[in-house]
Amino acid sequence: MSVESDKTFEQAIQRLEEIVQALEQERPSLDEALRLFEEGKSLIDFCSGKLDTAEQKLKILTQQ
Amino acid sequence: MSGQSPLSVSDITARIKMVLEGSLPSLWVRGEISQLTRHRSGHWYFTLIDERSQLSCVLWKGRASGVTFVPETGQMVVVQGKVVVYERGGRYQFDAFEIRPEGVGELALAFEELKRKLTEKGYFDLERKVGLPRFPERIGVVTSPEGAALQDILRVARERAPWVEFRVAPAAVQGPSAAAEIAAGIRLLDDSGWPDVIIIGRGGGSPEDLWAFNEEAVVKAIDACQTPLVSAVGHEVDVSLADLAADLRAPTPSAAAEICLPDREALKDRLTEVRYRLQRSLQSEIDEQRRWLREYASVVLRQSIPALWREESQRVDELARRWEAGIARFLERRRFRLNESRGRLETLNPTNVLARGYAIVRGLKANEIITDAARLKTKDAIAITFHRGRAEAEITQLDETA
Repeated sequence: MSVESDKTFEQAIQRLEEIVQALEQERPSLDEALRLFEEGKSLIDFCSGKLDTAEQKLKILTQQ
Repeated sequence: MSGQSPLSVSDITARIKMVLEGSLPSLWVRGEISQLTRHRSGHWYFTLIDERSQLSCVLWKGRASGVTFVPETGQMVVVQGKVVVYERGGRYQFDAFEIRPEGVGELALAFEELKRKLTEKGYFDLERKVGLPRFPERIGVVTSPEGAALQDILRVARERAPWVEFRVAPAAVQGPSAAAEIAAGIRLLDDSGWPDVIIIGRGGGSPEDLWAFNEEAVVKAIDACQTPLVSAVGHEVDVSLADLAADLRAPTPSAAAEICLPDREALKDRLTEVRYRLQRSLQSEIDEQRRWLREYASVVLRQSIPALWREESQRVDELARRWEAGIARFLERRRFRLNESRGRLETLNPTNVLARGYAIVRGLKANEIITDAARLKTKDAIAITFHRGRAEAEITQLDETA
């Protein structure tokens, strides 16, 4: 399952928490577990990618 | 010389001391701090200046420890003390036992008044405050673009969360236009909807320097701001009305950045942990399914298959038996009918008929079987087949009606 590119970090972490919860506490079927696992992996990669950004972006707005 | 014998250095100095110390009681002096040394002994040495003069001062450690503010170079202060002449050094000094920022009395009063008025308007109510997002990616800052506050924030961000983007709404942070510019900056960022969090602030300074952040215009702008807002004005000890109105107060701009931004290392650890937990969950799910499958297989193999086999065997036997029985019955019926038919056939067998006395008559001419006397004429030759043997004869008399 791919992650939309405009998903925010906050949403990604939130969804990851839901997935971990679902896998650990509910008892999904093997199919469902595999699907959740794939989605989780994809989200982890998305978040890791963000964390690895090196360049800080700064913009000074013009005064009104 | 006028007949006065010369005084010694000590004598003249003693006189100076008497005159100065005698005529100047304890009094207040107002001036600008031009240097300040807080000696490791605990005594403070500083110089007060104005346009034309300077005065060396000392604040002994006993009094210095009671001072709550940090005097800075350039700051206007009022100092209470006495002039003291040091004979050994041949100089005079102002021994201070009290030092205060100038005008602090008026400012403090104005602050309390504003605070009371704005509290009544509800700007500082707890219910109006919103929580900060856990993982902001866009931060708006209202501050001076040249100030240390911005640099501090950016530095902390580079270390903790370099993926976070910043937009700065420039504003003077002290002076007469500051309050309006700060309020405008807050509105500009908030209206754009771009930031996840807004930080407003500046570095340390005197109460006068920080005053813009107490102005009603700024407090109103903070209250109207929909975006979560953090206020970081001055140092730990400086509490401004902006601090009270904000959703969160940070003691310094660096602290504001630390509070708002997640730490990259902590997040990486968290993601590693999540990855591990996902894998472990999946693995345990797979192991569970395998175990279940093995158990099921062993149960089935050991118990169900033989039982099934027995059951099926029985059914097969039963079917076979019924099949055979059916065949037998079928055959029996067939045989019976066959016998029946044979029986009937037997009666129709012409040779059996002949045995009962009937004979077959054939016309000799065409060898056809005669069944009707009309076919014959007298004197015709016929062949007669008996049950045993045959004879040939000639017709002597015919009766067509019998």
